[in-house]
Amino acid sequence: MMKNELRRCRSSDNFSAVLQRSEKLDRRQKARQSLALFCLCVWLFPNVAFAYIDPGTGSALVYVVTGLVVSLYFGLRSFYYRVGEWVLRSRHRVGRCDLALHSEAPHYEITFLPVLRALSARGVPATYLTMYERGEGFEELPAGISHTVIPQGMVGYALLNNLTAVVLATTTPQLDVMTFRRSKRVKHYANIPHALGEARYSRPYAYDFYDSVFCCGPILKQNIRRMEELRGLPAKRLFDVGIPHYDELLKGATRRTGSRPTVLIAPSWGPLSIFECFGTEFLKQLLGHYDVLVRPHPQLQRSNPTLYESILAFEGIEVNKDRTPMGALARADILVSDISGIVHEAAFIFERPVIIVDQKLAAGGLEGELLGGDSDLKERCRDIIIPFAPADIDHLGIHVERALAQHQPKRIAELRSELVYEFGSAGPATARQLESLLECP
Amino acid sequence: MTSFFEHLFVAPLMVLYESVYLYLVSMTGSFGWGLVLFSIVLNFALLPVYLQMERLGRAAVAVRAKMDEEVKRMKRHFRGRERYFYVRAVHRQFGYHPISAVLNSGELYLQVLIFASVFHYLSNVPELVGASFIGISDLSKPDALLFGINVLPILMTAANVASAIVYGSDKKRRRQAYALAGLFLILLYNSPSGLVLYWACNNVISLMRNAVGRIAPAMFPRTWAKTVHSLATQE
Repeated sequence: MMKNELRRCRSSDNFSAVLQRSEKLDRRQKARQSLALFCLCVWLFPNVAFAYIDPGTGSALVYVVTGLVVSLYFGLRSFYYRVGEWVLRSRHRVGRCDLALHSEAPHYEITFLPVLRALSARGVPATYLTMYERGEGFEELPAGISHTVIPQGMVGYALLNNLTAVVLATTTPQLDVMTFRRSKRVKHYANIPHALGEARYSRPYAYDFYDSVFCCGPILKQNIRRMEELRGLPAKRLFDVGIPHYDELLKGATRRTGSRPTVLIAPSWGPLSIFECFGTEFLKQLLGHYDVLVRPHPQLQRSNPTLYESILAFEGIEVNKDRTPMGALARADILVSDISGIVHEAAFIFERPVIIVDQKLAAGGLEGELLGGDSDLKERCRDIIIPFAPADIDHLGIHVERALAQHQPKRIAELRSELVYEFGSAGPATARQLESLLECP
Repeated sequence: MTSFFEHLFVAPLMVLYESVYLYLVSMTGSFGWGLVLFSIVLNFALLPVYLQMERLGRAAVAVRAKMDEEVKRMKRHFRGRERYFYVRAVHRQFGYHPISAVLNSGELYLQVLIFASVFHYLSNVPELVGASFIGISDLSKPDALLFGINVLPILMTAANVASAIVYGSDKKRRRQAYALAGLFLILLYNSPSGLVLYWACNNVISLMRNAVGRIAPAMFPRTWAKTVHSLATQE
C-alpha cells in the first residue's frame, strides 16, 4: 500500500489528469447547481423569472440567486459557530493584561522560555497563557511573569478571542482564519514561529492577518512579503529576531560520543515521512555498522498507530521518546530525516551532518502552491543537509558513510549566519521587540 | 398587504404601459406593430440601465473568476470545517461577501421590475382579443402558424440561442444561457402570441445589442468606450 502511495506521488502525469478530470466534474456540477437554482427561482417567483430576456440578464439573475443561497448558507453556519463560541466564552474569563504570550502545547515551552527570561530581565511584566498545566518537570517562571492556564481547544480559543491586552504573541498560525479570531480588545497580534521554516509548508493564510511576524530568517521574510503581494494584503511588520528555541538548544548542544557512530533517524509524520513511505525495513542496512537511534514523531502515534508500534518493536534499534529532541541530537553523529524541521537544528545547533530523503512536498493547498518552486531552504542548505532520491533508500548506508566523511562544519557556520537571524540571542531580541510593541502597538 | 404594494408600485406602471402602448398602436394602426414598437421603446429606455448592469457584471465576473480559482483550490485540498473557514478567508481576501451579489444589483432589480410588470400587463390586454397581425389571426391566443405548431416561441428561442453564442465565449455561461432559453421555450410555448411577439422582439433586440457589443469594440475601440461610458452614467 505504501509503495502504491509512493508510485502515485511519482506519477505526476497521472496526477494532472486526475486533477483535470476533477475540475471538469466540478464545472459541470456548478453549471447544474446554477440551473437548478434558477429553476427554483422560476418556480417560486414566476414573474421575476420572466424578467429573463437574454444571457446577460439571465447570468445576472443566476448570480443574484446564487448569492442569496450562499449568503444563507454562510450566515447559518457562521451563526452556529458564533453561538458555540458565545456559550463557551461566557464560562471563562481572563483578566486584562498588557503583554500576553500564548503557548498552545508543552513543546512550545522551549520557544517561550528564553523570551520570558529576557522579558523578566528587562523588567517587562507579562502574562503567560498556556493551554496545559505546568506541573512538575516544568521550569519555574522568572520574576514578573504571571501564569494562567486556559482550556484546550475551542473553549480556550473562545476565551482568547475575547482577551483584553495590548499585545498577544503566539506560535499558533492562522489568526482570524479558523476558530482563533482577533479580539477587539487586543491591539496587536504577533506571531513567533517555532522553527526555522518557510511559509511554503504552512496552511493557508498562516501569517496573513497578524500585525507582525517575528522572523527567523530571510527566507520566511521573503515568503511573507511575496504572499502579501499575491494576496494584495497590506505589509505587516516583520522583525529580524531569529528563533528563540535555538538559544535553548544551544545550551544543551554538548557532544556525547559512543563507541560506534550513532545514526539518528528522526522523521516527520504524514505521507512524506520516511516511515510512512518506506516502512521500517530500510533500517536493517544500518544495523551492522552503526548504533541506530530512532525518534518517531509523536504525531505518528495518533496518525498511524500500527506503524508506530512496529517501530517500537523493531529489533536492534533504540527508540527515543523524550519531550525534546536535545538528548537524541547530542548523541547523534549524523541525522537522517525527511521534511522535519529537526534537520536545521541538527545542522545549525549541533553542527552534525544531515541527510534527507528528497521529498518534493506536493504543496496541496499549502502556501507553497502559490509561492511555486521547491523549498528555498532546502536549496540553500544543499551542501550541509544533503538530499538523496527516494528511490535510493536501499543505499542509505552508502549515503550515511559519505556524509560522515564529507562533513563541513565551516560551511555550516557560513550558512547559519546567512539564514538565521540573531543566532544564540533570539530570546533577548524577541523580548526587545515585544517591549517596543507595548510602547507602540 | 400585496394589494397595497400592487396599488402603490404596479398600478402606476400599468397606466404608463397602457398609455405608451395605445399611443404606439394609434401611430401604427396595428396592435402587432404596436407591440414591436413597444418592445423597441422599452429596450432603448432601459439601455443605460442594462449597460451599467453589464459593466458592473463584467467587473464582478473578472474578480469572481480569480476568487473562484482560489475557492476551487481550497475545495480540492480541504474538507469540512477547515474548508468552510478557508473559503471564508478567500472571500475576505477578495473583499467579497455573498450578500453583496444580492445588495449591489439595483440595475438588475429595476429591469426585473420593468420586464415582470410588462409581462403582467401584456398577459391581460383586452384589445389583443381578436386582433390579427401578419399571419396570426388572434394575438390573445398561441399563433399555431405551422400546422398547429407555435412558431413565435421557436423564433424567440432561436434568437435567444444566437444571442448566447454572440454574447461571449465563456462555455459555462453559454451552457447556462442555452438551458435557460430551453426553459423559456417550454414556459412560453402556449402563451398568447401577442406576449410571445413582444418577447421575441426583446430577444432580437438583445441579439442585435450583443452583436454590436461584440463587433463595435474591436472596430472602434475609443468611440465605443466613450459611448458606453456616457450611456451607462446617464441618469
